[in-house]
Amino acid sequence: MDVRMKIRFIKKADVIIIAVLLLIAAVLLLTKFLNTDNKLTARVIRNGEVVETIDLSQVEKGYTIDLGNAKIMVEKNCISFADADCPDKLCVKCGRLTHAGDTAVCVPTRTVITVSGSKKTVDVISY
Amino acid sequence: MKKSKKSKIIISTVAVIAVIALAVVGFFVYKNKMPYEEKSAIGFTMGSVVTVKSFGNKNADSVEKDVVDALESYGSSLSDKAFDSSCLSSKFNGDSQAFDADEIEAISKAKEIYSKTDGKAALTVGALSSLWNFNSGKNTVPEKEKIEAALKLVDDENIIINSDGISVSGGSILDVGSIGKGFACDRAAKMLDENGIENAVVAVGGSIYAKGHTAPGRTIRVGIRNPFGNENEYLGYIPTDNAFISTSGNYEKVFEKDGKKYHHLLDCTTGYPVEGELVSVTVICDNGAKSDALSTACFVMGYGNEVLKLLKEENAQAVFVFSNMDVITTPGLVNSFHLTDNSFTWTYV
Amino acid sequence: MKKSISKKVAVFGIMGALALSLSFLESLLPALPFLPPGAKPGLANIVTMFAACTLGLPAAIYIAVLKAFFALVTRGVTAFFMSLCGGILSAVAMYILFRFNDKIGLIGISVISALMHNFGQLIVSFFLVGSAAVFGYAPFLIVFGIISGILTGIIFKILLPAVNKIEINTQKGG
Repeated sequence: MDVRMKIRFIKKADVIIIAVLLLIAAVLLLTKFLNTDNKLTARVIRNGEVVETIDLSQVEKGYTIDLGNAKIMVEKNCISFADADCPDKLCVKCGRLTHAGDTAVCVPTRTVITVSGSKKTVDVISY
Repeated sequence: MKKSKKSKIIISTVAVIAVIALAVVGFFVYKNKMPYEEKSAIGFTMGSVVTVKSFGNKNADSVEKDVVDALESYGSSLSDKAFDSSCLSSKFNGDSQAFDADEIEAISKAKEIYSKTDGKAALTVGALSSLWNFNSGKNTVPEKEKIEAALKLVDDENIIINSDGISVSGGSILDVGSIGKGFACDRAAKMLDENGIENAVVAVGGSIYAKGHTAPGRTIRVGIRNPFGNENEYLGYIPTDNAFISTSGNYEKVFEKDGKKYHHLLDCTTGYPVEGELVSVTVICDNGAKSDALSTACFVMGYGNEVLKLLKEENAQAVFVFSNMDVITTPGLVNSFHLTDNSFTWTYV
Repeated sequence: MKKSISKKVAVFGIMGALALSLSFLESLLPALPFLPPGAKPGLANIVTMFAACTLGLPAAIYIAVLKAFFALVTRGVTAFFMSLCGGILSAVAMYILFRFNDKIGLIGISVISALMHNFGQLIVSFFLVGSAAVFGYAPFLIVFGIISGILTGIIFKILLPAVNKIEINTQKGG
């Protein structure tokens, strides 16, 4: 049981692993930030199903969506959890989602709100 | 000694590869995802907001503003020479007027399409639509006698089309409200082509003209409004690089009286708003006025074989949305319609 | 023989209590703005690392399960599953890396196990919530996992001499 003797504090493999992981994180963050534009779409997903699709760039007046166990606040280019029936309220603490790729998740209520950039937005709506 | 040199080589190789990989990824992302620069202008015509957006227009001039101005002045001149029920106040004084070749073609086509609706849609609906007066905000249900009297004046046979103008007999009133916005899109399309704009979106109210791309490999995405949500919510979209799209829906210009809802799409055989399961119809085709006329025709006819036949004859595609949240599309949209709101159920014919 | 078992039970008991009190203390920390809410340094992982390193896989799993039940009692069923999955994945990874590898150092083990914990939680969220959007947190969790992994690794290294003493006692006392 003297494993501790064998394990060195830090070796070159550690540095490589950390460097690679940082690289992956950087690439992921990069793709997120390159998507910044003003045409933001929000999606509200409940139990895996998209229940609302909102073009945030066209929202003039803020309003609230009441899903029963979660309340979502929609504003111009911004969406957030106003409240939810969960013990942690981590979702509310996520704050306001304002960039493409921003996500807020409430696992107990199975609700996700995501914001995506021009990939998913429509350019115009016919009514 | 050798070991530490080896590890240095490994680390620096990894670092170099990482930097090159990042550069390559960055380059590809930039080239493929970066959207074209957008320029836009907004105005107001025919009772609606008009928006013209161009993508990747490198010229310094303001084509978008010019198109908006042109559509505004066109809408104004149109309401001088024809009754437009979509406008708050038409300046039309009742005399038959001269229309240009494009206008005559659009009106003839609409007349032809409406002739297939069993009288449910008509261009001469003017007497009836001015009675209902949806744009005034007065929101009253006209008296039955007045409606019946107006119905007698609704007859597209009274339209006489010449090479240089259109005249209407029998006291009928021509109403261009059902095709005006689509026709404005046609004019906008022509002007954009003349100015060499390759990528653009024009919206006159809910009538759309979409052309080209917003980014490399990404065509214009036209969303279809969710009839049960607000004006920013869409139930799905259709990507296209060249199409005219118009929607007729019973959620627009609607008022409620004594517990009953009255919308602006009138059935010209009854004189009252169309009843049925349809909540909206969106038509996609190669001409603006035609898409506008077809969406009106499809809505008044209701979903069925006749409507599908009409669409096929006119080489148009359509999306039908029902009050039970079913969505049906014509076969041509199988590969292009994308449903984004799963509270709707989508089937195609 | 008996003495060794009872000493083992005592050690397990103390470790469990230590892990839980560290978890509790961490839960009092406020959520910092640039971090995903709920992200904590994972100081209790030091205990798990000690268990995986010296007492074997069952001990490490025991700590993970204990932490999960603590989450169940304080934060609910969802927290239970997330903690359980992340904790077990992390404990198994630690055990494998301590036992069967000589290429990766302590810091590397600590970082990998922190990331495995986060990954386990993400997987559970994905299944519960039904949307791949949860993986949007990934970059932040990776960076934070690396930082907390390095932190717990350093603390573990500092505590190593003291920890050695405990083990020697249980062995010799048996």
